[in-house]
Amino acid sequence: MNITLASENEYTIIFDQLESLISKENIDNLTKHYKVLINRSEKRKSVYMVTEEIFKQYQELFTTEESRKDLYWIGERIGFLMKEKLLIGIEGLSVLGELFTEKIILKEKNATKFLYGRDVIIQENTSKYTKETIKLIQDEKGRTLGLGKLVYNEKGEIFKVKNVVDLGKYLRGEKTLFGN
Amino acid sequence: MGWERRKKILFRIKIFKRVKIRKIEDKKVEYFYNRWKEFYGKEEAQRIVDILNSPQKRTIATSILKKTDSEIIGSLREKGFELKPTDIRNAYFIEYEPFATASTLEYLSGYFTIQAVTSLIPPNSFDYDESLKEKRVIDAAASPGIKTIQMAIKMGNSGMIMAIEKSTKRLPQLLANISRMGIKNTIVINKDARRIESIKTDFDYGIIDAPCTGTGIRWKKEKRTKEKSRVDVERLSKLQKEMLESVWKKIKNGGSIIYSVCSLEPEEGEKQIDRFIKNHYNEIQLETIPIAIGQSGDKINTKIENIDEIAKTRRILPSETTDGFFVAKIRKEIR
Repeated sequence: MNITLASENEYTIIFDQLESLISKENIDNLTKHYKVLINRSEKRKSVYMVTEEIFKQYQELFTTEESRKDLYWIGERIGFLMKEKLLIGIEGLSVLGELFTEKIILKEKNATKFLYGRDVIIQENTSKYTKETIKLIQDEKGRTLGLGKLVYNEKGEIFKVKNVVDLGKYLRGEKTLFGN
Repeated sequence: MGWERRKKILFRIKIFKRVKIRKIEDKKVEYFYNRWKEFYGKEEAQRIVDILNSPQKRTIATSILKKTDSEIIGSLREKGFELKPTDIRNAYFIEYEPFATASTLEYLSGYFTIQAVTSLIPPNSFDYDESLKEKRVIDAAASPGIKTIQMAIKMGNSGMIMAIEKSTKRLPQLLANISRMGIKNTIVINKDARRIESIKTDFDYGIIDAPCTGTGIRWKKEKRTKEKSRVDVERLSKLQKEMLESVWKKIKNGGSIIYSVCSLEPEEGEKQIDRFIKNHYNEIQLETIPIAIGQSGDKINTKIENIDEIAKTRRILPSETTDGFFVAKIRKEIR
């Protein structure tokens, strides 16, 4: 694998997208404490967030392309870079989950459905949400379930939360998510 | 030929095949049974065979990286799970599960790992102090990642763990587990741990849960055990020897290795370490394992040269709560 530091362009793509989901303050915190590395050997390029401590080890041990040949994974993967777009994966929620600005709380039955990978119908006042962005989905106890998108009907009212990714994927999609 | 008659013939062939397969399997079991009689005594060997045929209790090990131990256990108990503490801190036997433990939100959120209790012994055999947060650790055969994860938790997600896994097939499980548990301090290398000379660093600690015959694992879980033979004991003990030698070269003076196998064969355990001591007599110090499970390694009936040192290792025979296991803590002290 050829995992190297994100280029300026990649960095901009990633953080421009994150800025629509996370507050400015949290973005500053992320950029202060993490380095971003990209796996260039894959079609969908894995994006890793790496602590300063691990980055130091990376700089020391993986300076040449030859030394990076067997490097398969580093720090925490947040998702993939594909066609100039960041696709946040379920594994990214451990770094990014708590930082999302918009959260949708699901009641118990809906939370279970969502964890099984299904879209769920919700009935609530939705004017507080921005239309396009991905939202963090949580249960009533504030536990993260995954990411979802709001789907609107013709009248512009929300009628369901589309499942983008959910923690149940760890059981259902181990090989597709983490295989090569 | 009528359909009914055809069905009867097919059924007979199927039965015949089944009987044939069972016979071959029993022969293999007999081979190991005879060995265990020699090493552990007749009664113990019979008990091992019975135990390996029975189901085993699994454990959960909580992670303090996300929630407190009592929060996690409380939440599972609320759902009807019955959990009983083990001899290892933060680990609980699953006495009763109202539904699959792996499908709980607590598991999916990375609050705990599920494993046999013996898998928790290696990471818990290292002494804990604050300096652990700055150490470099190598895990030589990392997948499915339980030892890497438990070590990372112990290190407070700091320092660095290099998780080596040779098999590409086994990588997804390792990656899914470290991701789910929110592990930040790990670098995964897809490489044979016997060929790590090109890695330009030394490590404070090493974990070698080596590939082994797995003769200490329940047969339901590890069907391959029944397919193992003398050739496998020889082949795998050679591989373990090479792995030990390779990782040992990468350990700093004053550092240590935890070597373990889930095998009941002394060639992979007591004798393997006995030979290792002989080859490195001027740079080795064995240390006792600080966990009171099983018995000391010198109880086995086989020829051991460094009996006082082997007495510091631990041999765990299969029981209702444990798999068969061997573990040794080897400290590097160049004299």
